Amino acid sequence: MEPLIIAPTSSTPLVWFDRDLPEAWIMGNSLPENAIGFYKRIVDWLDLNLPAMQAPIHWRIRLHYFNTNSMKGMYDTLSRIAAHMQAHRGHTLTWEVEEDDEFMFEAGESFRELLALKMDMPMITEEEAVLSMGVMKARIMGLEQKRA
Amino acid sequence: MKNGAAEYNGIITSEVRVQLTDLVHTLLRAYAGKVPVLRRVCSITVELLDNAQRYGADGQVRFGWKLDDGIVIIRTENVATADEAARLVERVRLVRGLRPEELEAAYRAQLVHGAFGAKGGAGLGIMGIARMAEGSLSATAVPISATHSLCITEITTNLNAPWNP
Repeated sequence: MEPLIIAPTSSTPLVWFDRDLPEAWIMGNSLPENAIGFYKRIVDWLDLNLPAMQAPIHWRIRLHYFNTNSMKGMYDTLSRIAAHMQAHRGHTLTWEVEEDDEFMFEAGESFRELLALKMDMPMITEEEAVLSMGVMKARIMGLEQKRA
Repeated sequence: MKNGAAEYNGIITSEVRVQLTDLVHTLLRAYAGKVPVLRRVCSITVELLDNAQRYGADGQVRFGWKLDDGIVIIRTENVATADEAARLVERVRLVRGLRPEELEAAYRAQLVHGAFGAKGGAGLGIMGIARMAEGSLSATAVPISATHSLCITEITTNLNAPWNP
């Protein structure tokens, strides 16, 4: 099973889904002009691979800026994860919110309500967000170098 | 809190949207300090610029930002086809006519049941802006030729207003 690894850009988030890792990430800015194309790739990967992902995974979502079109793509993504979580115990999901980001907090609450999600919403600092994004980018670059 | 203003007039790309949103974030921090609605104003900026890029006819935008006694005014101007411009004005008119609970219900229904449109929009942008903006939201279409109009979208929001979506 090929992992889904998408390097971040200024307007699209980092995505790292790999059934052999204990954590799966969506992290960064999500304001693609073509949200349907960007999120279709994620949803297609989930539809294909989720049935085989039975080992517990911690799904972690941490967005900085995001547009409402991404909200629709995220809804489609989370609905898949939610259904999988209901069928398989042990998976966890966190929607990580930067301090003072009421918009992201409210978006998380909406998803939690609409999808009856078991989802924690921890607060993180802006510095933590920047640091962990740097670490993830470095890991992707390392992976790309290894592949080359 | 200090007053301030900034303006951009040029091409609109995904990168420009991010840069202008970062600019608003930085300016608000500098002029207003750590206000709780800072990220909300950034989100409104994202949506306005997203619309200008998605429905713009020539890849250009004029973007203005102003902070005046705790009131933020954000304005975008872009050329669009007359049809797109009329659609925007009508959509804003409809959204402005909704009560807050109706707006919330319409937003959630669109989120759950809506589909992406031909231009990749999810039909959530204007509703999203209206939910976030505590003040006014307006859209005007000024004809500039037989086929095109100048779309002017403006929101005002009070930095000190609570947000209860």
